[in-house]
Amino acid sequence: MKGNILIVDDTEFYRKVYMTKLLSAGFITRVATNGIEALKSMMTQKPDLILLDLVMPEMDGFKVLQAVRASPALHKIPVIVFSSKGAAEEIQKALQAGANDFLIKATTTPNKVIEKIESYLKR
Amino acid sequence: MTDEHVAQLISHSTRLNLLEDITMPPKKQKQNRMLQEFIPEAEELIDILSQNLNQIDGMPNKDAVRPDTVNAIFRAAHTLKGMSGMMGFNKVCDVSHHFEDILDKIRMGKASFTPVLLNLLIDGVSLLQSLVKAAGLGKPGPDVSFFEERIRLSIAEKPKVTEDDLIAKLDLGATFPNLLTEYEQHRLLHNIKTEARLYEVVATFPLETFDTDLSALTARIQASGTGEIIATLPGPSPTGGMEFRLVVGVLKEGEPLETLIPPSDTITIRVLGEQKALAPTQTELTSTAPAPADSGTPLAKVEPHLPEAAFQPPPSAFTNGEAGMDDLESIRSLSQTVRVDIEKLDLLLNMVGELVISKSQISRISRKLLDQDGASPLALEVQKASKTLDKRVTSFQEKLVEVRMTPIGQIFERLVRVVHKVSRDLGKEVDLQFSGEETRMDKSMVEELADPLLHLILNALDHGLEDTQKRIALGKPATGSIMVRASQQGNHVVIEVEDDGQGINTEKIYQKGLSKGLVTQGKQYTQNELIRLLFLPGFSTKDQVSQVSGRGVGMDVVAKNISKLSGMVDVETVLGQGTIFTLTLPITLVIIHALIVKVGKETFAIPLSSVLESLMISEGDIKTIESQEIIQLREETLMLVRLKDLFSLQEGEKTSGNPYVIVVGLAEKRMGLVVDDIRGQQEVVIKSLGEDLKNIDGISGVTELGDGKLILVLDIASLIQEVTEKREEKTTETGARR
Repeated sequence: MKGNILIVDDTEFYRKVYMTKLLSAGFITRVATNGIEALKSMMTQKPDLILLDLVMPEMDGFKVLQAVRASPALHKIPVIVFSSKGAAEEIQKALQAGANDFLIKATTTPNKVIEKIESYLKR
Repeated sequence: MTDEHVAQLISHSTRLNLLEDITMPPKKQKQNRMLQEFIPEAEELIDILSQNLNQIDGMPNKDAVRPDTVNAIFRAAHTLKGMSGMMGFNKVCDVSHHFEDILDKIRMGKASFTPVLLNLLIDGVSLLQSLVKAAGLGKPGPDVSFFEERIRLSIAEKPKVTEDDLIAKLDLGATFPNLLTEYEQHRLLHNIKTEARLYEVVATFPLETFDTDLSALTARIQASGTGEIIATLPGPSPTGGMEFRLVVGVLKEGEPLETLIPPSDTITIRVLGEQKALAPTQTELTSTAPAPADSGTPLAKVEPHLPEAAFQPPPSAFTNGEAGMDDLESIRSLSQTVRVDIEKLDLLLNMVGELVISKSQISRISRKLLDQDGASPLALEVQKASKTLDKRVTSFQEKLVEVRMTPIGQIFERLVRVVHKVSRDLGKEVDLQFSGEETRMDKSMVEELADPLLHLILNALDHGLEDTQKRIALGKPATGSIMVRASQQGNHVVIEVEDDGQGINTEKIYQKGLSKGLVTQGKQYTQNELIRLLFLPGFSTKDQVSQVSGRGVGMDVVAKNISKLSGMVDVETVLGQGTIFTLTLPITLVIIHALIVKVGKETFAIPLSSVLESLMISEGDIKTIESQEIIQLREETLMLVRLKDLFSLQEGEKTSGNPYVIVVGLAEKRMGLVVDDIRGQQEVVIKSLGEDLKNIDGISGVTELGDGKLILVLDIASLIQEVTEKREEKTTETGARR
């Protein structure tokens, strides 16, 4: 298997689309529907990469990102922020909080996302 | 500025390159699949918008709208924007972007729900409804420029108040304030201005239970009715667990947080900011008004000053989209006139099947070469060539599969003729209706479906619908109704046959079963188990054998044919009201994407269309309830099936890692398959097992992997059926009622 990807998104549509896409591309996927679920999931099984939405109920993506970077066990995991938001300051904020990359949902094709994921896993 | 930037970004780039992989013609099928996911989700989001806005519209005091409600609408608009942008529906994207924009202003306290604004938003909801509908039909939909003009005129940005220093005084440390979202900042400021008491709660929970511990803590704060959780910041705890820093606001008349949550070893509470720092605001606020929340802030409400006429849409604006309908219909009928001999297609498909196998061989060789030689020029060249071959074969295959797709409506026409004849013979009046004729599936499957479908309809006509006199006596319409609905759901086609007849009398089935020795007297059976008897050969409950379906060959033929197609039959019945038979079938059987898994020494292929998720677990996650193994997956209990036990396989070499669970599902049913290893995903061509082995439960065929090895393909439908039946038997034994 190519790697274990944690998809964190509160919208079922995105979870489904990306899970199917990633499974087809040979990845193992886990999904979480909010920040707390995401933390729980990565504590039980460390993912190789996290695809992280920002706007979510319970706990948003910025907080998750910060927790990943602060954790000695998890801080090296690449995190690709995958958000509907795309304002310059959002991007800056996410990168400052430790995101490896920032993709905007409306302008990124599923294949692009997979390419990105593959490129981070190769490093 | 930033919002405009986003809007520009989205509208430009979506038009250019959205999903190159799904908008291109050869991948039309994939786009359809995504569209199938998109439409219901979008409709649901629009429902959220509509319900909440109408609720707000009915409220006398619009200022009393709860922040949760505004937030929910905002999130719905936000999600809709992203999804429609990704799908390339620019108009839906633009309109929902405006919604998001306005609602964001409202939730940040920069605007409020005026009657004019509400009207505008409610109009916008119906605009979104027609846009999404149009998108589903592949039509352009109504013009949105007028709506955008209305929005522009009604919103004027008010200067933003900078109050960063107020937050700085809270002494939250360096990182926390930077991680607050704009909304969280707004709530924090609101709390400061309303003189709420602010606390920082630091809670440390063990790794195993932090999610439930945290939700218990937040629930306790929220249940007080006076406490609001403004932000939660997770982090590792120095002691090894998970630490959460919560910023909590408590209304000034509320109980102090310390009494609500007594501090303990794991929970510490700190009052934020110095009371002195807030003192000037405090005196000012208390001296002015009973509702001081907004007195210190120049947050003006948005009141557009526009003549009423400007808000009436021109009547033509919403009719534009409808005009294109007829043209579209005629194009579709033209495109259906190509006739190809199905045998030729089968031959072609077989050849592609061989190609797929050669392709996997070459990609295996390429990988071997890379492993041996490292990144040598030759190895890289072979890899590149292998990838190109892969792409070409895949697109060839997809096109060919698409050519084989036939609208299911073809058999509907044949059904109508038979049904009319039979209904005349039976002297029953029936209104037979179809929907979803355009749903497409593999030609061979459509043909195989004709018989079972005919049996189901005749069964509804004969057993389901009452005589005309009886219907009148019961107060039902004299003409019975049979509805046949087909629809695509992901990689499956679902066909429902619904009648408004008398329903299935399970008591009668039980009696009949007794006389035939199929049930045991005194034993308890579930309704489902009894209905399953209907599908046994030679079982018929009709008292007198009638000309049509009473010969008792119908239902077992249905069940057999459907399971041959890797499908599933579900029955829902209400006595006196009618019955729905639901068939769930894969779109094609010939070439499938499959997940290759290893169990013991054996390798299996699982059709990817049924796979929902794959995860690694540790044996400790598995619990046993009533001798059934389960795991807890996001609040839900998932039944586990060990393929090793199911097929009585030998233990392989001890694998070092944890087992994997492949979550599979069909219709509403879910199940987790425990396997030792996941080998990857591959396209496989399914071949039949041959006559002798045809009826093995749980296996739908064999396939050849690139290395020439034959492996078995799991039949998820029959597995799920078998496992749920076993489960029901167990529950019956433990004392369920019939």
